[in-house]
Amino acid sequence: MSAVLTLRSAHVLVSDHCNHACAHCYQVHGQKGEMDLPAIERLFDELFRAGVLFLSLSGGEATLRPDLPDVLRAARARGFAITLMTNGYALSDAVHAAIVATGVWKVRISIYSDLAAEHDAVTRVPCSFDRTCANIQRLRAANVQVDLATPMTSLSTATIARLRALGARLGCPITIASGMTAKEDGSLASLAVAPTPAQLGAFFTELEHVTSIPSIEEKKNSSPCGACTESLTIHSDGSVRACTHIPGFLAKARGDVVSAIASPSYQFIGGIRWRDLHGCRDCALMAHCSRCHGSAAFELGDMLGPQPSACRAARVRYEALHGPLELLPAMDSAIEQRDPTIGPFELVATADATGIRPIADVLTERDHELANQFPWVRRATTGSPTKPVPARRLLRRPILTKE
Amino acid sequence: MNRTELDWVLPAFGWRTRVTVLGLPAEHVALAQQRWPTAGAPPPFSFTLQVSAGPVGLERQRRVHTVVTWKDADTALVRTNGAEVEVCLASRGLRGVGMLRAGATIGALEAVFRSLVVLWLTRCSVLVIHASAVRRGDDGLLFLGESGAGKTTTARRLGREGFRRIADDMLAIDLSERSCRMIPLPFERGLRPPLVEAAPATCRGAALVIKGASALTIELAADGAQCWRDALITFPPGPGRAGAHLELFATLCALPVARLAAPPSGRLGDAVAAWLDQLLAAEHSLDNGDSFGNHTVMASSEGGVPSDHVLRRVPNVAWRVIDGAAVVVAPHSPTIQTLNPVATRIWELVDDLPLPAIVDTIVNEFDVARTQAEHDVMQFVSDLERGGLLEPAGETRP
Repeated sequence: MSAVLTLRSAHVLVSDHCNHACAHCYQVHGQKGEMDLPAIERLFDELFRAGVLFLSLSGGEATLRPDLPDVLRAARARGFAITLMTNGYALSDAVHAAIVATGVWKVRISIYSDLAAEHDAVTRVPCSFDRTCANIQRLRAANVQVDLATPMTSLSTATIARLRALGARLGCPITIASGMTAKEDGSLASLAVAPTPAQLGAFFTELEHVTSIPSIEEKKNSSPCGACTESLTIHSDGSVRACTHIPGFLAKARGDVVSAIASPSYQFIGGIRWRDLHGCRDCALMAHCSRCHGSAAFELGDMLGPQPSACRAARVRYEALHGPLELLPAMDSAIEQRDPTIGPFELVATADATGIRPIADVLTERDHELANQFPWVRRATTGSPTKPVPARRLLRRPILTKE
Repeated sequence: MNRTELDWVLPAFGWRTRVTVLGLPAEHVALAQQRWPTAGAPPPFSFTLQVSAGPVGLERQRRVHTVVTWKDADTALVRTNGAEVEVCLASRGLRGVGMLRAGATIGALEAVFRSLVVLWLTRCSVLVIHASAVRRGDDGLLFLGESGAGKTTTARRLGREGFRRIADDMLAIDLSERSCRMIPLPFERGLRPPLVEAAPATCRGAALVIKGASALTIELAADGAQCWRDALITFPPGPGRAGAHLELFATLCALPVARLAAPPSGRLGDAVAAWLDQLLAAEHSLDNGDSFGNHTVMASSEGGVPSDHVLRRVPNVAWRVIDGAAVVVAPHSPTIQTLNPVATRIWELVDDLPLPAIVDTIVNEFDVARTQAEHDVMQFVSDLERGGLLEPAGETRP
């Protein structure tokens, strides 16, 4: 693996609490604390020295920071191309003015349906749809670029066409995503609103079916995600990590970007290929699969192993392209103990139909060596859901300064 | 399943592709064959479309709407009203396969035809413009504006006053040989037969039509690049072609753009003719190798660049030099611009440094003649200024 000692992009979570309580959210708020402005400014200096051009700011909900305008000005002073990710619910005049004055490149706003009731059902905040749309229009009137992000959930009936029409009405490009992850404490509660197979089927059919499917060999040599490929995530408490989901800290000291990108963990994560993922590398559906290391860690406790929700989505995607797949029983009694919807699988063609059969998840010596070298790739899963904290009751932790 | 053979043709470009449509409803076959008759032996390029039982492509809309995704430099996935196709672009035509929505009408075929024509023409340095057009002899003028602005009406009025109307809604501008040849396209609104041009006119300029004025005025537009941008019918360039695409657009922007405020009645022809005479007299044509913008004066007859012209980077532009190339990100623009080494050097020097000093540096650091360096520096900074990335030093933006 080659060392990458420069960065091109960074994602900084500047807030640890939120004014929504979205059903699908992977975050557990009010647990980490937040950096103060001087700490953020020092972090920005480090990111600039490391070569970052593209800076994304989010939370929690970033607009809940009273000093967000100062954060934006600090980012502008260092010449970053700034993307602000927000729910768009509470854009004060000061924040709006700062977005315009600092030339924020893009404001990325989450929207969950074209119907107000459905959007509000996701956020669990009444009238959130109307307020968010009003703020979108206000930003657009100021010639600010707004991109809409729509993670699909089972709480929304919106079709691809309806969502595109919503984007057109608001004058914004809209990106629809099919993936959903477990909560960062290991709870699977967020997956309860994961898109249904029918929704996934429509997504793959309408948005992705013409995308070329790579060969198995091409897929094995490709990277499952872009974490640690000239990018970093800094959480609200200053901890430096690969992304919002992958467990494990890249540096001991908070905000220590230089140590993070020089760390073996950073190089390891950036160098992961599909062939390094046990189970997945032997799966016949691998070419149709899209997965997240962090979600794999949340769902099954092994960052380098199968991710159950991805297994189910890969099957839907395969079926959208090639037709129905029959789920066949395993041939081995040991494998039969496994959830039959979790891979790896082999394809079985019969005279009448095509099916998938669970096969063994084979771990090699190298898999165990990696787990020993980076213990955080495997973690115990709690399995018990975390009761969501209503937004109004979230307390702000004492502000932390850099050690 | 019935099989219908059609020929999609662009005679002005020597382009012909044989299209085979499988499953076209019987009631549409005759009309399709009338619209796109076959002629002669099958050309080397062929395209197959099949009518699908399921939903295909984008929702049917009044206007053609198209989404293009590139698989590689020459292969694109095109989704349009009621159709989606995978097309491979070649130098003399295109080939591919695609699907049409069930119950497909001529409209879906038309949408595919137009989308593929735009895609292929852009590859050949030909841009498709939403405009009407007239010519007087060998010289042509374009009329730009939103739908309903009066482009077609203006062209028709001039057609009755000594000009010849050559397009109502859309035409191609061939920029491949540094002369802007105006070429009608075979898909004007409705299904009227295509116009045939023996010798294409050279575009001398364009006017943004402003209807409902009380008096006729023709004034130089301050936002020429924006006018061209709004009128351009194009798709995202394929991998590795963004630079060529931008250069093409820059060439187009070198054409002068005026604002034509036209009252609903009265003569237009005399004023437009006088304006055309001014354009010709100024001898600002691409044939001479000079290019100019709407704001800046290019190299004068005495040579050199304006010594007092100092520009600076607009404050909110974000940029870094990555692997020797400046990556520039401007607010209000989704485009990320990557500059070549010479442009990167100019970009680095432009802040508060007079243009002659920048030219001196470029001449010293790169193997280029001074006259070429002067031309390139002025062209580049003019483009950046029009694109909102540079501003005159000392100017305060709101």
